[in-house]
This record gives sequence, C-alpha cells and structure tokens, in this order.
Amino acid sequence: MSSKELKIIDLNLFSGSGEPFRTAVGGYYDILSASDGEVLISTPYYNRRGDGELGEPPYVYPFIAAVKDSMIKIDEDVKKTIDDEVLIPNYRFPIRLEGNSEYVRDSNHWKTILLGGTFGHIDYDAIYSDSVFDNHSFDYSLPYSQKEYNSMPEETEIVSDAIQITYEYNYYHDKYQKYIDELDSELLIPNLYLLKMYQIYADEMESWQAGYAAALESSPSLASAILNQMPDITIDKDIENFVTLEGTYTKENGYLPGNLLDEVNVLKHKLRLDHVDEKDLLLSQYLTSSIILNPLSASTISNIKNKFQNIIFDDDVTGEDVYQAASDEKDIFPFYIKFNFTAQENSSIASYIEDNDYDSKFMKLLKETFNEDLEDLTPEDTEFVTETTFISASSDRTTYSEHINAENSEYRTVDFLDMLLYSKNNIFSETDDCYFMGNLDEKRLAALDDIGYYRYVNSIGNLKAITKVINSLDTDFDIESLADLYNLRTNTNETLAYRIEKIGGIPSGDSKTQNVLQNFWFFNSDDFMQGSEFYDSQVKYGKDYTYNVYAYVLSTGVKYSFSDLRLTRVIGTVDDDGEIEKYCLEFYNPETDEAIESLYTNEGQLNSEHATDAQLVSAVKWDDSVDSRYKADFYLNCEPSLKLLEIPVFSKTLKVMDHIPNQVNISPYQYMDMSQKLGFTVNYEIFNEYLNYPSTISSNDDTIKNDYLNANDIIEDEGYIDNVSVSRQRYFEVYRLDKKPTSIGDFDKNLIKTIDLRDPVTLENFSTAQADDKIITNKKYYYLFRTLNEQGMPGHLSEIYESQLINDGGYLYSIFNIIFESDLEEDIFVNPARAFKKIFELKPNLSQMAFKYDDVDFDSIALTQLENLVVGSSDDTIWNKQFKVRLTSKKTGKKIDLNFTYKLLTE
Amino acid sequence: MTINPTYTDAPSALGTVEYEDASASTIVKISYSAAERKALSDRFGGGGTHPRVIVVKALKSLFEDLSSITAIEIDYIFKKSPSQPFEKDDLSSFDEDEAEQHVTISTTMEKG
Repeated sequence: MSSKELKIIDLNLFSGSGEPFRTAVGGYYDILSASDGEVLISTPYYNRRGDGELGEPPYVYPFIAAVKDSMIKIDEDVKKTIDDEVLIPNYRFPIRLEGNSEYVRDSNHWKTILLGGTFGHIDYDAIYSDSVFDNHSFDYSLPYSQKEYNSMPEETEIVSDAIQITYEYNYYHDKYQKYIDELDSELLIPNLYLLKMYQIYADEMESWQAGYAAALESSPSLASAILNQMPDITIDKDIENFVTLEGTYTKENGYLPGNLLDEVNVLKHKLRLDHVDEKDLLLSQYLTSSIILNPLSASTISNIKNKFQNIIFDDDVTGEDVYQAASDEKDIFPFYIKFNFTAQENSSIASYIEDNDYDSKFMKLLKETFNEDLEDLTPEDTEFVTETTFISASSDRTTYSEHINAENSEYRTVDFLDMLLYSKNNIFSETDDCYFMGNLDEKRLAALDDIGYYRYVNSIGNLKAITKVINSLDTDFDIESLADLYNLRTNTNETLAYRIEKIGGIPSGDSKTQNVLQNFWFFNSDDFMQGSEFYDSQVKYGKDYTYNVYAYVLSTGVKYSFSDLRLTRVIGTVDDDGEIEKYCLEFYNPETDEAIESLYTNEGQLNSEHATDAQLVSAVKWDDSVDSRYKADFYLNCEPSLKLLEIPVFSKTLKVMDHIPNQVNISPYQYMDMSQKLGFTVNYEIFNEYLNYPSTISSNDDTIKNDYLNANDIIEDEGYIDNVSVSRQRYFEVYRLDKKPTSIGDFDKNLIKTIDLRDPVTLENFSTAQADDKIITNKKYYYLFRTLNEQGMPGHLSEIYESQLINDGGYLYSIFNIIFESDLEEDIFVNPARAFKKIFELKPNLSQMAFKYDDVDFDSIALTQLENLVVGSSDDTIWNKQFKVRLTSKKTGKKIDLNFTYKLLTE
Repeated sequence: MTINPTYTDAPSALGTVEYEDASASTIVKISYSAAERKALSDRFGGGGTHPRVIVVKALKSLFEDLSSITAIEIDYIFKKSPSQPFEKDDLSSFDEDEAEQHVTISTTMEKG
C-alpha cells in the first residue's frame, strides 16, 4: 500500500438509504462490527448463476425469489432508447421480479411488499421506488504527507507516494525582504516563473529580429524564409509592465546597468552560478535595491492584483522549456515555497480536452465554477461516504498498523456535461481575475475574450470536446443488466486538474481568519508533476501561509430510475385432480388497478380467445414449495452521468524560516583583580550536521521550533538539522541563573545580555565576542549561551557553565564546571515503595521454633522458669543473627540483596 | 482563383505592379523604387522592404493593442451565433435530480 487508498461511495449504495431495492436484492454496503472495530462490508447482488436462468435464493429479502433481466443480453429489442433527442446514450430495459410464494400470502400482500403499507397488522417499507438515483462511487488514492512518510519504519518500503510542501531558503537579502514586507499584497512580489518567461521570450524575439534585420540587408529570399519563422509571442501588457518595472529593465535599455553588475557577479559567485551568463540574471535585478527605485504604477498594481488572484497553468505551459528553465534557476530567488507530489495519470477525457485545444477555456471555466463566479453554474455539496485505508507507524518506528476508517464526507461537485454545455452557450469571458502563465497564444486569448473576437476558437474547441466525450460514452457505457448496475463496481475516474489554494495575509472578518490570496490552477497534463516541482516565490518571510491542494476528479458513473411498475394478480387456476397445477395471472397497474400488458417476455400465454396481453399462466412450479404466481415488471432507465468532484488532497500551514545558527564555543576566564568579574569568550562554531533541534528556553522558542519542524517535515528528536543557517550570526544571548536549573526552560526570563555582533563601520558581523559579568563571590552561577542569526532564529545551546568566584580570605579564584543538559535530569521518585509480589516466604525451620525444655524445672512456678525455656532445639539457632539473601535476575543479571535478622519477640 | 503575390527587388524608378494570368491563379509582382525603399526603411526601420513585414508588423501592433483590451473601443459587436444553444434537456433523459440521501456512517478499525 504505497498510497492512502480511498473508496468514495455514493450514499444510495448503503443499506437504509433511499434506494430500497438494493437492500432487497443485494448490491449494497453495510457496517460489520468486529473485535478490532467496525468496518464496511459489501453484500453482493445475488441474482445471477451465469446461465441467464432464474437466480437462486437466498435473497436478502425473503419475499423475493428471483430477479430476471437476462434477455437484454440475447435480445437487443428489449433495450429501448428513452429519448432520441438526448445526446448521450440513454435507454431502458425490463426487469421481472418473482415473488416467493412461500412467504407472499396473496396478490394484495405482494402489492404491499412492493409499494409499502400495512398488511395483516404488519407495516412494510416499500422495496420499489421510482426516484432517480445515481452512482458515482470510485476508488482513489492520496499521497501520505512527507512527515507521515518520514515516520514510517526505516526498513520497510511500504509507503512510496508522498506529498511535500516545504520551503527553500537560499540566501539572506535584507533589502529584498524589506521591500516585499512593505508590499500590501503578496501578489505584487516578483514571480519566479514570470521573470524567467519574460526573459526567454524577450531573448527569443530579439534574436529573431536581429536575424531578420541582417537577412534583409543581405538576402531578401533568406529574409522571407526567416519571416515565416517569426516567433508567435505576445506578452500581456500588465505582465510586461510588472516584470520590467514599467519598462525600466528592458533589454533595449540594458537591463544590467553598471552599478548592478558587480552585485550580480558577487551573487553569482556566492550561489556558484559562475557558469550562468549575466544576461540570464535578469532575475537578480529584482533582488537588489533597484527594485525599490522603480515602483509599479497604480494601474499595473491594480491589474496585477486582479489577475494574479488566479494563475492558470494550462496544458502547454508545464511542458514548455520556459517552465523548466524557471525551475532550473529558482535558486536565484532568496526563498520560495516548494511543492512536490506525483500527479495522477490522466486518461481519455483529458486528452479530448487537450487535443482539441480546449484546455485553456476549460481551466478558466473550472476556475469560475469552483470559485463560484458564475450564477448559473455553481458546485453543490454532495455527500459521500469515504472509506480510507492507511497505515501508521508506532512511535518508535519499529512497527506499523493498518487503519480503515469510514465516515461521511462532503465534496463540492458539478455535473461535467453541464459545464461543457455552459461553456458552449457562454463563449464570452465573464471574469478577468486570472492570468494564463505563458505566451498569450490564440487559445489563451480566446479564453479571455469578452467581445467575441475568438468565438470560433472557443466554439470549435468546446464542440469537439463535447463530441469526443459523448462518443466515448456511446462506446463505454455498458449497463446491460441489474447485475451491472448493482455489482458495486468502481466507476472509472480521471484527474483532470489540480488547484493549490493559498491562504494568508492579514486576518479579517469577525472570526479573524486569513483569506484566500491566490489560486494556482493546473491542467493535469502529461508533464505536470511528473518528476518536477512547483514553486511559489510570492511569499513573505516568516508569514504563515496555508496551502490546500485539491484534485478535480471526473467520475464516470450512472444515473438510473425504475418506472412503469406492474404486478400480477391471480385470476384463476389450472387444476389437475383437484391440485393447482398453474395459476392464471393478470398484470395490472397498481396505481389504477387496470389491466396492463407485461413488459418482460412471458413464459406461458393464457390459451383463451378472450385472453388479453395482460394475462398469462404462471410457470410450472419450479420446486416443491415455490411457484411463480407473484410477478412484478418494471423498467430500469439508465444513462451515463459525469460528475466532477473537488477532492482535498493535502493541506499544510507553513512559513519560510531561516535555519538554526551553529553552536558556540565558550572559554571562561576571570579578571585577576578585585572587580569580582568573570568573563566568557564566545566563539561562533562551524556547522555541525549531527545535531537535533536544540532545546527551547521560552514559549516563543517552542512556537519557532514547532513551526520549523513542521515546515521542514522533521520528526522531533529523530532528524538531524542538516541545513546550515543562511543568514549570518547576529547576536549572542547570555542567560544566567543563581541556582542550579532542573531544565533548560528554567533560563526563561533570565536573559542578562544580548551582544550585537554587527560592526557599525564595516557592517560585517563578528564571530567572537566577550561576555563579562560582575558577580557575588562564593556563590554559584549558571550560564547558558546561544546565537541568534539575522532572522532572529535561536541557535544551538552551549553547555551550562556552573561558575563561581571564591573569595578565600581576599584571594579570589574562579571555579568553572560544565553541566550538560542531560545532567539536569533528576530522578523523580514518584513511587518510593513498590509492592512486591509474593514469590517466596522465609520461614525458620521447625528445629528453630521448637521449645527446648532441658533446663526447665516443671515443679517450680512457671514465671520463674521462663528464662530457662529456650526456643530452638538446634545447636546453632538463628535468633538475633543477620542473614543476606541475594536474588539475581536470569534475564538482566541484576541483583537484589535482602538483609534480614530473625528476632524473637515475646508476647 | 487564388492570388499568389511574389516580390522582386529589381530596381525601378517608380516601382511596378505586374499581374500574370496563370491557368489557375493570378500572380502579382510588386517591386519598389529606391525612394520607396528608403521611405519604408524610415517608417519601419531595419531596412525592411518586404510588404509582408509591413503587414505583419501592423498586425502585430494591432494584436498587442488588442491584448490590452481595455484600451480598445469596440466598433462592431458581432451578432450572436445563429446556432441553437444546448439545453439541459439535450444532455439527460431524466427530468428529476437525484433523490436526497440521508445515511450517516462512522466506522474505524485498526489491524496489526
């Protein structure tokens, strides 16, 4: 089980739902109680024996003897189209129900059993319903979180599918950080993909222009050939303004002005990007102070904040070089959030969309539908039961157990064909709060078209996709029996798209909740998340963001109903020697009581010139106790149903954080004077990759720790912190206690000094500092040191220095002892005494207990002879002597000594 | 009949436009004078004399303007499509929606 396995089950597949016929004939789920919990269990449909004959009891419901619908397999004529005008396959075929005459008392009883009511003072629930039902149940799989993955037993490979949302913190750039902190919206932060995209497109266009200009001068025929190769590139004007900072950094103006070049080169060297051409470092300009000098115009800000609410990645973009190139140079950004998971493989419907260039329009429609932008096409909350099977590891990561949980779940759904229909009827773009990543090609322009320029492009793509989908339904829809409908099969499904919802920013509203900042919509193309990652650079340092990942899953299910019910009533018998051989039956409409012809082929026609099509003779008894005098015919109407579900895949709240500063090395010293001062030289150590997250001092440290471990998917006390602090050391913190601590937490609120390591002149940070402290002599003090980096991340702790200055008659000398954190732990005797099991009893031998009368004069008064009575007839008595018994554990070898003395007490 | 324009760089004082009747098409030959070439170069730069460049550049300029749609004044509103819109009935033979279900399930089991 590499993934979490989901069984998403339609509610009408459960016993007790509003679909009663399933419960009567099988093909439903119920709850089974077992010793280790409760679990869903399926009761299969019982009808068929495989030969098309009557099914065998037992049915779940005793009144039903058989269900017959086999003729559709051999006689296509019984399969009738319901409505020729409807584009999708829709048909019906008859089903016959045979009542069990062993239990069915008469025709009225039979009617009551089917339609519900009271018979013989007994209430019956109807087993027939003409309501419409659908079944979109399907199996799905979800990845484990990276943290769950990390917690699995190390030796096993039981989990392979994991999703990770984490961050990368590449370098500290205070100007960039300050700039984006001051932006009132994350949407205005430079976007990793856009910068690279613009650079590549601009390069491509300029390169072509240069080639064409040169060819025009030399060879008109060559120029003509080059003209035909003109790149079809158009960039959204707002994006161009956003990327080029209102045209400040265009290539024509030389986007690497001299005063930035040095900084770029330093950056390149620092990032080991010496192989990258300076021209490719357009991105780097945004990471300098220059960005602050070139603010965006009000209109660009307004348009970007509108468009970037939804960034759409359609079919083409994730496979394009620009997408990959942006990924390759992502580390030029100081930090970003990183997404890594494997997308589900798509299938036919996705190919119909992409092959007909309908993906851009579809993605925009998906965004509008699930953002609830459209009045006439809104998703509805549909309830399913979701059974999830997953494994979890024990806390020591040595074993794991399998869990199976089932509960009601609500998913937002929309009818897929309704979506396509809406798209066909509404070709004008209704919203503009989105941006298609990539070049503004024809299909993207068409999706954004609100005046009809591209109505043909929109219509033709939509119609082709609809046609393909309907054609596939004609081929694939295969309900040809009640068994096909009730066999609890899993419907086909495919994941058409994904959404990453980003929530953050300043809380608002009565509940002070953060709002949705942005949505990234991805068409599930062949290239999406197949070994690649997605990056979100539009985040601020240290701010919480919640990312919700959703999959849009299309379930190809079935919609069905039963109709045209008719029942038999006995109108006569055929006797043989006084014994009923057969029954003369008549079908009738239970609502009107009027005779009506049967739907299913009858076994025997009534041989009479007055007989109608409604009348028949029952089959010969087919066993001793059951005959077929009770019949019910009705139609099963069915058609395919496509439902698009929004399945939550994963959710995580995290923030970008720097890593943990290194340890410090402490060298204590004493002032050789009467100043009563001790001192410590604090040195910032090199990185040690074999350290866990350090112990925390304050509750704020706890918060930082939890956030850090969560963002980096580290299990507490199990994973080394293998990332070095990105920003430099900035402060040394000195804590002091005047009594011995019992835990690191005792140092909270005992910070006595914070040393700033920044040289105000050079702006470099020192790595060494002195910490002096004046103390009272002959008293022990306990010191603790740690580093804070530029981002304020607390570092690894020093050991605790037990320090005292001894004043020995005016002569001062110091004593320093190192106390490790583990030494602080003191045994806490919660149960100083423990009950001892009665394993053995030490009892003196009888010879030690028997009285010795040798010296007793029985003729004297007893009181006087008491001293002459000796206890113990043995020569070597045990009284008032000490003994030792040693118990040695066979298992551990540990020993317990029991020392005891036998004392003689007189009562 | 299709028109296949061809171009020539043959110098001419005034520039010429020639038509040749072929069996299934008319060939239009256009040539520019030096003065025309200079004017084109001044206007569009890059020494471009190719008429298609002019057209493409003009279209590209228009295309870019269109991309910032808010700046465009709509001269003409296209008529609505004459084709009949799809109705919901065209895609389903059922008049009703699914019957509402009320089932509550909650189970949990741990193995191993």
